[in-house]
Amino acid sequence: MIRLAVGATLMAVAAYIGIGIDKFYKMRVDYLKDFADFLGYASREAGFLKTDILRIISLYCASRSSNLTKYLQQTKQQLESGNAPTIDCVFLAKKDKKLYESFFEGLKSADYRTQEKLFLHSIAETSELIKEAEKNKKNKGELIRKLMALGGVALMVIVL
Amino acid sequence: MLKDLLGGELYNAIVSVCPEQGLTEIRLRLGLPVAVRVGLNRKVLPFIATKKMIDGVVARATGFSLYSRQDEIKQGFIHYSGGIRIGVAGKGIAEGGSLVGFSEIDSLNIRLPHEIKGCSDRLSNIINNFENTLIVSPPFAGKTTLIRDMARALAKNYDVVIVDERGEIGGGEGSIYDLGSFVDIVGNVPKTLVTEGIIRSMSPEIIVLDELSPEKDMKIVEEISRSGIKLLASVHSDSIERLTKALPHIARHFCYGVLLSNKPSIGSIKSIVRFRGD
Repeated sequence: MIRLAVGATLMAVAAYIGIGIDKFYKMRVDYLKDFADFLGYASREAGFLKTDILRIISLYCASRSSNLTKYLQQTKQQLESGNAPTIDCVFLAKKDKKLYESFFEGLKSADYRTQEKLFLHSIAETSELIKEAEKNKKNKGELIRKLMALGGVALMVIVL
Repeated sequence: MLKDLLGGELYNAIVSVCPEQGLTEIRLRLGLPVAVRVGLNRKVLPFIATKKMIDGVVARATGFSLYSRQDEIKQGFIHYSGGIRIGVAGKGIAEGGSLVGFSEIDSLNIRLPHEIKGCSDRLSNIINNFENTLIVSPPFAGKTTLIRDMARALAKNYDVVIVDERGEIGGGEGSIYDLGSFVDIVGNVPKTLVTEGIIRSMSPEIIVLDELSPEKDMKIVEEISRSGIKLLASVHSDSIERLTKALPHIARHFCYGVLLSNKPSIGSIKSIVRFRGD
């Protein structure tokens, strides 16, 4: 009986870890997709209405419920304080953060022509990062989840 | 508002020497002492304008988005909320015969507006039976303050549309000016682009234009006159005689010319001229 309980616990823990790791990769995809959504929105606001970035962030956060909302509002505060925009999100890879930070930094001094190019570049780069993140989600996240589930079953068998 | 624009450090440094209420102008020149005007009097402050200071003001004025104010910067200014106008100077970039921007902004001239309600009461005879009026004024003589108050007074009896090219009359977002309930403002666009639309669709009884450029804006003055809409406008000059000699056709469209002066004080009326008898 005790062995059964221990085995089941180990199996559950292993499965839980696997689900957690899978979710980690999934969250990166979600955050990047939210950033792409923000870029699309910002690009239209900036390109057509010439709205400044502080107002764009306020409007976006008011109109959307997004994973990125908290970080965008932090970025707005950083800009208003004259600090360099940074993002500290555990789900984003180093290159994701670099793209995010360099976008806002570049926008500060971009004129009307270079802001168009900056948006195009950022949207294209984000699209590539999303593809990479989805590939990682499929190849690593799902694989690890399945392996951990199997591993959990194996541990249970060993214990029993 | 001024503190938001300047940033806490610069703002505190300035108001520790000059209280905000009296300030009319702040000048930041790279590498040179910061200077302010209190009324007409210039004061030089004991600290230097740095690149970080100037870039910080520009960044805050443009909402950290230079592209959003590109068109204004091409005309040499940035408008900020509350009617603050920031003149910019530096290393210009020309393309195709026009200024497209500045690669370096080295100087800022921050003009702070003031509302003086009732300053147009002296012109009540003109306001009560309003005919086209041209306010002639050198810089720093209070023409925008006067035009704002005249628009407010005229709006009690007329539907007034203000073409607020630089956002100074109405003040824009965050404005504290009370222009009354019968004023429409078209802001932050060149007069030449919007006047025709205003005439056609806003049914104005009076149009207010600030800082006419006689070369560029005469066509819209003629169009407004032809449309039977009354006009209140201002132009830079220190003499009505000199203005009408240089531009004899300008007087044709106006009934009255009001010459302002900053002596003995800002907003002094030096003379009122009747251009035509109708």
